[in-house]
Amino acid sequence: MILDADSFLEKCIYSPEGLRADGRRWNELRQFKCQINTHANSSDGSSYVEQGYSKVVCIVNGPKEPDGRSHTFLDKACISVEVNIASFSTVDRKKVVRNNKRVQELNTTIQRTLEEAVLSHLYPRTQIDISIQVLQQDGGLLPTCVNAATLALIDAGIPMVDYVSACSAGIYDTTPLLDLNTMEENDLAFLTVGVIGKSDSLALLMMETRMSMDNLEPVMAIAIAGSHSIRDIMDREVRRHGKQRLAKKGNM
Amino acid sequence: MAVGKSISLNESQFILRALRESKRLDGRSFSEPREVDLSFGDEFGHAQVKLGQTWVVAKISAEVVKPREDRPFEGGFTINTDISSMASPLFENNRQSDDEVIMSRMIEKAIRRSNSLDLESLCIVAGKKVWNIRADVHVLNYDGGLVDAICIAVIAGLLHFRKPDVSVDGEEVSFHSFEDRNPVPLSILHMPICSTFSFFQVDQSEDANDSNNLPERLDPQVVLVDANAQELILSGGDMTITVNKNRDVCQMLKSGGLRVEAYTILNCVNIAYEFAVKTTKLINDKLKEDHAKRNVGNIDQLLSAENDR
Amino acid sequence: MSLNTETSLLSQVDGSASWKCGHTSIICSVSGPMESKRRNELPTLATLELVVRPAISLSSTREALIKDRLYSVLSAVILRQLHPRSLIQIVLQILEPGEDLQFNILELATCINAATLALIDAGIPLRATVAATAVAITQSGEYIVDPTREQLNEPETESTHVFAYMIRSDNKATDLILVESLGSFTQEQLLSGIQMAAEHCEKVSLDIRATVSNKVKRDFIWTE
Repeated sequence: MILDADSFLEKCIYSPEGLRADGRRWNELRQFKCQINTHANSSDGSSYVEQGYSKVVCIVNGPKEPDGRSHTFLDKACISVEVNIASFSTVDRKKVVRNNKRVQELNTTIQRTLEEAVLSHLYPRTQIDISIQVLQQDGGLLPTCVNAATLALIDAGIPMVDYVSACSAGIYDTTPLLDLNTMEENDLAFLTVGVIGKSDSLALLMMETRMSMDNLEPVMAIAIAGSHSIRDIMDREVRRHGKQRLAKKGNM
Repeated sequence: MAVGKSISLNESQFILRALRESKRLDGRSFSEPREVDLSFGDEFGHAQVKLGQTWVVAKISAEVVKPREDRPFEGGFTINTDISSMASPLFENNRQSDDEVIMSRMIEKAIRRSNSLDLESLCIVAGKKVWNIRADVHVLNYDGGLVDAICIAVIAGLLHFRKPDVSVDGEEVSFHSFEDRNPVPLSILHMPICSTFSFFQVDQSEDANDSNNLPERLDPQVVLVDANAQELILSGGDMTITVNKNRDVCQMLKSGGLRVEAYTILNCVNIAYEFAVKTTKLINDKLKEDHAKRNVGNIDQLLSAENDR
Repeated sequence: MSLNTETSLLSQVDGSASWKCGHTSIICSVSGPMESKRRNELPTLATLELVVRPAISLSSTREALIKDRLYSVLSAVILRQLHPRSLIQIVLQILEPGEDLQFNILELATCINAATLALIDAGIPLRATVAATAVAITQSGEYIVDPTREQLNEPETESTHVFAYMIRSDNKATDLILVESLGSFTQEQLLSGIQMAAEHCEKVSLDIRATVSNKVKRDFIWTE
């Protein structure tokens, strides 16, 4: 019997038994499914990523002729990111304005994070277009987009230093929680990190809610660990796809 | 924020070389922010901050509006940070670049989303009339550290601002002029202070033997606090951390740029905290000074029974 | 009325000036002549980009009006033909308006004076200096030069005017360049207002001269 909606929710986020509302433990990721080369005919690289109920499709085109002078750099490729959030991706069907500041910020953040990983100096005077379609949102919008973009860039065969993997983590009382969903994001203070390869160094760090300074270290540590496991899952998918291709080639 | 795109090769080599020798052109140490020069104007809510050559003015104003349908008890708060080419010809008029969008979002998150202004205290008649507080930020001169300076100016402006006293009798609302009744300050819950850190990779130079001569610098990455415009052009990425003196981190953003070790970031948070404590004290001292100046010979002040808290 | 002027206070632009008269305070920056965007380029003249920013909220028709009047004054006085295909960017930031929303005379007059000073500071070639003055005329026919906020709000105040004169090297206000009037007034009142403003504009011009000579003294320390 539910007595009071607030106390029910409060209890649900992290029960004394150490379980979260969706049955995970504090250090568990949601189901992470990914696939590359999903749109083989219409793009140079493509991917589909599911992080729990967050679903994202990413298409990469390029390196190609740049669109005009403002997209031409003499020493590196121009990476342009466009995130498109479908109006049916959330429960309340709000129309997302295209030039919304939040989306613009998301675009720039993803673009700058990837610039650090892509060896863009190999393709001067070119442009790499990354277009991300958000189909469904359930927390962790930014990390899901970053992960999808990494996979699509790998599929397009664009040289990178290593995988960029991103993950969010929050804090409940004194327990850090990994990979939050929307319900948890609304109630907890959380941050998002983006890690290049299996290092401890961050290319991306974003925190929008208030968190005590002393909780920062454990939350960051678990978010980095989460990113590392996501990197492993993505690596497995890339290798699976590679083997499949090689097998096809062998049959010919 | 890399606003100035051009810097001569000589200058850039000079600055990077100095950094390799642990020196900055303005003589500061790496973790030393510039002095904050804060002053207030004649009107309430007019705060002016100078951070090195950077010069920012914030003006706070209030008007009565109808609240939003879904939030009948809350007042409004908007921050307007539109940078004109007065700050530097590199900023375009009437158009926001990516950097400016990120910056204005950062200030929104630092001040508005961290709830430093108590919106519920702005309610006059629920669902009918609330105060809408507006902060207009004017950047007069640009020399790096914009977010830091703007944040201090807005917070100081909010603390300095007074809105006219209101008395409500049923549905009837009457506003009292400043002469009639003492105007009331806003209720500020905490004071977020931003610090910007810039990261440099200094070992990527032609004369690599030079860095070998400096064995005490093992880490090739240099972290500068509160970089000026020239340093910002050369930096490989920056990060802004917003902290208040209660040890709450209100906002953190590092969007891309050079990879940075997690422990370096935790170090930066501590530096940001020190700066926040120092700046909070500075703002409070300046406010007290201004208050004393305004109330010279004010009989109410002498008769006030309020204790120092 | 207390007057406080300053030049070269901004480091990133070519010229700047602040003009604080009474409770009206304006800061002006000038950059240029510099490279202009291709589509704004004029083949025979320098493009003049003018921005007037209010102290509070976004710029509205009120600022557009000030900008329009200012544009007509400045484009007449700047020797634009000397820098074809280039851009001169002028930004005026109102820090304290010093008058209520229904008036704009103090702001307009101060904008003109601040812009003149900033243009001189930037070294932009001018035909002459421009000095402006704000005048209010009351019911009893009294002329108030540079009125205060309280004087403007008096119901006695019938009309408000801004007069600007071009002033050449002999420091004589002979060429009227702008008359902006609002309210009801007689022809005689306007004409004598123009007469009176000339005298006052000469005084303002002396202030501009004093500021510029101070600036020159500061900039060229080696010449005694």
